[in-house]
Amino acid sequence: MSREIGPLPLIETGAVTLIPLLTGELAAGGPRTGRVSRDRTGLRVTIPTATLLFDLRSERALRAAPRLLLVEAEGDQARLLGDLTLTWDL
Amino acid sequence: MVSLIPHGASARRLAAAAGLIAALSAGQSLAHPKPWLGPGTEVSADPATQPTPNPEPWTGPGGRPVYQAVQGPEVPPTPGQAKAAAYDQILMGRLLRGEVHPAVAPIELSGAGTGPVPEATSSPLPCFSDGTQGPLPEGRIQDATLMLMATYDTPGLTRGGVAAYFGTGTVIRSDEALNRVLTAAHVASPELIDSTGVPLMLRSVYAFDGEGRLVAELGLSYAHTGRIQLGAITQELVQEDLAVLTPIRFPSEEMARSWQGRGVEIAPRQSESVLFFYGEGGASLISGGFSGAALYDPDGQVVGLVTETVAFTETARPAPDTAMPEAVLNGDLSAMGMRDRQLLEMIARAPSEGVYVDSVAAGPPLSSPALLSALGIDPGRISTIPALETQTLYSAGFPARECRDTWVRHEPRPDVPYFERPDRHIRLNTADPTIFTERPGFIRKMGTDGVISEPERVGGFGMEAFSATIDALGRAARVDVTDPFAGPSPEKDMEGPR
Repeated sequence: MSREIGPLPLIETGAVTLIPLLTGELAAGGPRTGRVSRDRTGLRVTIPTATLLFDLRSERALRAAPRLLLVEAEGDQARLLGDLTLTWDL
Repeated sequence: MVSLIPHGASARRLAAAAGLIAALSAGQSLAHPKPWLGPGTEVSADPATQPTPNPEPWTGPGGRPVYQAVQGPEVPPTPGQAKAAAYDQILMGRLLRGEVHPAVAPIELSGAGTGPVPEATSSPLPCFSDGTQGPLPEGRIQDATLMLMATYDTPGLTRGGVAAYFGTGTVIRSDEALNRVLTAAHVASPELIDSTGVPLMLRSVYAFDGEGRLVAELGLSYAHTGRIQLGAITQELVQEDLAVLTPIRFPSEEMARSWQGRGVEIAPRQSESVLFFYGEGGASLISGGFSGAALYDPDGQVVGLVTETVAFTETARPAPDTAMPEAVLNGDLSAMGMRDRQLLEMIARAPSEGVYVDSVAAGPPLSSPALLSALGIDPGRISTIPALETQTLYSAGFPARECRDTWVRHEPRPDVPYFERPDRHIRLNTADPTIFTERPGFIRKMGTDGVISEPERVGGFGMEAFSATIDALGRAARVDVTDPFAGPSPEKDMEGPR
């Protein structure tokens, strides 16, 4: 069953864009591919085991991100959960 | 440079990421040997240290980067986009400074139609501070600050009925005439739409002081012409969320005579940009009911008003109680319409519902010539500057029907211009205010110059007829039977402003 996670913020560092998740929301793994769809409430990124939700206003930043990383944020550190590549069906 | 795109994310998520954002902003590299990120996955704020990304990760037909096609040429942001960006940046700043902390047990925000009322858990505080906290002495701001109860007919509901919404109004000293009350249009407007879509038609507006005494009934004299959706922060509403009210009835001669003694001054220099501000350290109470409250500069002059907030709702926590609801019940309310009075008494029976909530708020400056004229102020004596330089503003209001005053942090945002929308407002004439006297059947009038006339008899309304009317009103379920202002007011305990 796919869990919905979000809406999620984005952290742009210039060369990468981080998608910070809460601890335990997603397991670490290899690169993931997410299919993006849009509905009235926002953007939905479907990945195995979960659907990541973003505000519609995040579309521009997601499209412009040179590299997307899923991370768990804890304190001042981040645990890498894997790369995320998006495919847009919009 | 690190930037946060918080759109739609909860305060809990943002707070969880705050440490990471701060570390990246400080140029810290979150890399091996720290336990979280392993070798080859270094993340840094410095692009030069980044692993080389896929050179063309987003390519469309012909290898053209998709995002370039989507972005198109740079266009100036709309006022709404500029405002949203300002909120985002200020919220991020607060996160980075550690000012926002999610509550352990989030509570529902209270207010009109927004959730259950939390139980009061502490002893009531005095209404407002002791009068020494604000920028003006001798309680002048407290005297000028009124709780507004706007009642609306709700013809869309099956039962039909009356709804009440609370906000704050501030008595502004007029250059030329009767002092008037400044508030937000979404507090008092001819027509509103509530958060469930029910249309509301303005019925009456009552003003109470910090001790719960009915000060006056007010009428709109500068009104918004649209139908404002309550609870919705529209892109442009902050530009036009202004209204002016004028007294139309005083419940007693004491309140009428004190009216021209109330009031605060408009600052002679107003901002050309929208004002953004928030409570220091997340400790201020900015929630429903603060709408329409004046913003003061450190000299105690009015520079704007509170009209909207973006709140971290998960950081909300109960605030100490104040005595305001009880004071309302103890006051004399005979000058209110029967149904409005019953509504107020019913609402006031509920526990005080104040909450502290971390938020960023905004509001317009007072530079509009049309608004200034409606306040009885010569627009020619008000000049503008791109943004106020002060970092500190003060406000007093009635969030959640509790009287509060607070200093707030101002963040100048000259990139979010304020522009007048005269097409969204209309001037309305109001009759000279009627003053309810202690003599049965006699009233006074207050002229546009504030001068009070001698008592005059109206309509043969003697004590017997008045008593019969009050008795009938008390027993009748119907409303609008008669004008309760046409009889005497037992206002012996009332006092003028401090």
